[in-house]
Amino acid sequence: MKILSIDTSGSSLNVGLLDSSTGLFFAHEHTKDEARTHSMKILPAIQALMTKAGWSFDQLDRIALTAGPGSFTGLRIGAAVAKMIAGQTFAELVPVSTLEMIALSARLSATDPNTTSYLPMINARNHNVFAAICRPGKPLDDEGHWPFTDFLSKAPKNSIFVFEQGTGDDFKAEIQTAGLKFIEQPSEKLIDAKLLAQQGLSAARADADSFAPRYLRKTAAEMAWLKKHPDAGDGDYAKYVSEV
Amino acid sequence: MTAKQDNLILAFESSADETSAAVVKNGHEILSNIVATQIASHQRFGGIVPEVASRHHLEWINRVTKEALQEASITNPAAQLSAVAATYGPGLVGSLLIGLMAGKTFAMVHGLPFIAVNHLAGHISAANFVQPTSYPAMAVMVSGGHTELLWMAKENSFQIIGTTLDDAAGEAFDKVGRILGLNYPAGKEMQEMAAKGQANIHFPIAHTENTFDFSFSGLKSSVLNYVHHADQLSEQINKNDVAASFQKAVVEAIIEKTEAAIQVFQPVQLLLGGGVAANLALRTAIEHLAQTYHLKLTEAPISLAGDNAAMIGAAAYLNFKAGRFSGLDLNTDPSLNFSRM
Ligand SMILES: Nc1ncnc2c1ncn2[C@@H]1O[C@H](COP(=O)(O)OP(=O)(O)OP(=O)(O)O)[C@@H](O)[C@H]1O
Ligand SMILES: [Mg+2]
Repeated sequence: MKILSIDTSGSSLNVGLLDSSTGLFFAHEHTKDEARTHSMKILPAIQALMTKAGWSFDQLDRIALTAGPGSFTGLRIGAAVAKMIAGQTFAELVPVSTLEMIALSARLSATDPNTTSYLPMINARNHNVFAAICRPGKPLDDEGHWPFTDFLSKAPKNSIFVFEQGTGDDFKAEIQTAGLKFIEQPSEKLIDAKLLAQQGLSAARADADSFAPRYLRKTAAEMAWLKKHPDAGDGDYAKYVSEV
Repeated sequence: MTAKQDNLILAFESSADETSAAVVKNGHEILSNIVATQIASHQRFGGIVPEVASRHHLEWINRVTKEALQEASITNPAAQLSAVAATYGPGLVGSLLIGLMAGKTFAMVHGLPFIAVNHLAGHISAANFVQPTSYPAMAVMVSGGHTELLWMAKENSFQIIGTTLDDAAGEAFDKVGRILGLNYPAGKEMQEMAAKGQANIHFPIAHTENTFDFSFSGLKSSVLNYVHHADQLSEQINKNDVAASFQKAVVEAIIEKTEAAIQVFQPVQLLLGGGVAANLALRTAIEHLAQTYHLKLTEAPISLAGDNAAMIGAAAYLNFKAGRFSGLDLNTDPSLNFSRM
């Protein structure tokens, strides 16, 4: 299979091409000034890799995409690109949890044999986090938007937090007090593009046209509105948009 | 299949709360124009919530793309299309991003050239679906976020003669509509109320330092004062009269500035575009003005006055002819505008 992997959920741009029959992998080389430039860099990066691999878009079998959680804008950039490629070619869209990818990427270089579970975490401000419990090989548990302290109380023994360097300083003291450990990943190592492509081999595919990122968080405006309109249902977006 | 010598452009528009894709032939013929509007969603909040708008755009972008292609009988984009275009500004950054990324990605996948379009040039180019423009022309661009008099010395050239110093005309309609208890966007309903009322209240038009600039926030305040004053005295107001008087003041302000600019710059033709160009009182007034000065006039068709991708395709065609293409690294420009004359 020919797989394109795309991750724009965080500050670094992760793109790669994997040919699973040969094991050949082409990775986008990270640059220093990648943060907040995904909208400018992603397509030239994909195009350069396609040229390097000598592939045409019609040959792509799958697009593995980090589906979220993560930066809302970042998630949408990757999703818009992945959706449009999938919609215009034979490629299938295969979304993978960003948190799962953070955990699995950390495991690549982890050495502690006692670690049974990973706690991938993204800082969501105000002492809130997007986090999950990842026991490799099993489905994610408790993936959600949490007050950090609530999530910490769920952390299993011998589990280890994983987050991007510089984003977890507010939590380190509490983690250590709870007797747990953490791994700080440099941003370009947080998600491994090759591993994402490999996950894309086995993960379930999604309908590209209706795909929406896993934001795991409604907007403040919607939460306030739903509070006032408890019978309105769970924000079924589709019914609020119509063709004219 | 359309003959290859025809120029077919697939265009995307997503700058505010409409997700749209269109196929335009030779810059002036609409083969398809699919518009998905989010108005019902944002009415829950009384105005556009940017994060919600971006989410809707992403959910609808593939659907409007496929429908636009299908309706235009495009089965082989690489062979049938000449280029792909998208709005890159002005507008809400998160909204713009979806149409821009979709357009650039479509161009990359099918190996087509990409054209970035200024949304305001799009509004003005809606006139191209009516008839060709004669130059030098002057455009009256009145929308939800902009109110500008633009000098067009030649095709695809825009310079600001005058602009609003505060609220845009459409914004003023929406804010006054809110004062009168209407939901967003209020322009169309205001027009309907105005038609039932009398313009018997004097709401003053602000004077600006530059003769050609606009100011609508004072007008909005005087409507607010009028309504509050009546409230305090427990007097009933006739909302239709307020709407009629407000609309008259807005139209007069636009016509007054436009007339002053006609006298100084002497264009051979006028163009009217933007969401507020759907306003019938404004259309009647500008038709009268054009007659008085013996000017050719092209008004955006009412159905194409609001945001849509067909107008973006029309503007993109002008860029195509001028050889103005953009790279796949192009970013959005949320505060994009023309420069002053
Ligand atoms: N019949 C009408 N009379 C007056 N105003 C109208 C009418 N129809 C629509 N409008 C106004 O037009 C505006 C919408 O126009 P448009 O969609 O062009 O604005 P926008 O795209 O939000 O802003 P911009 O084009 O400046 O970025 C709204 O403010 C709406 O109230
Ligand atoms: Mg507009």
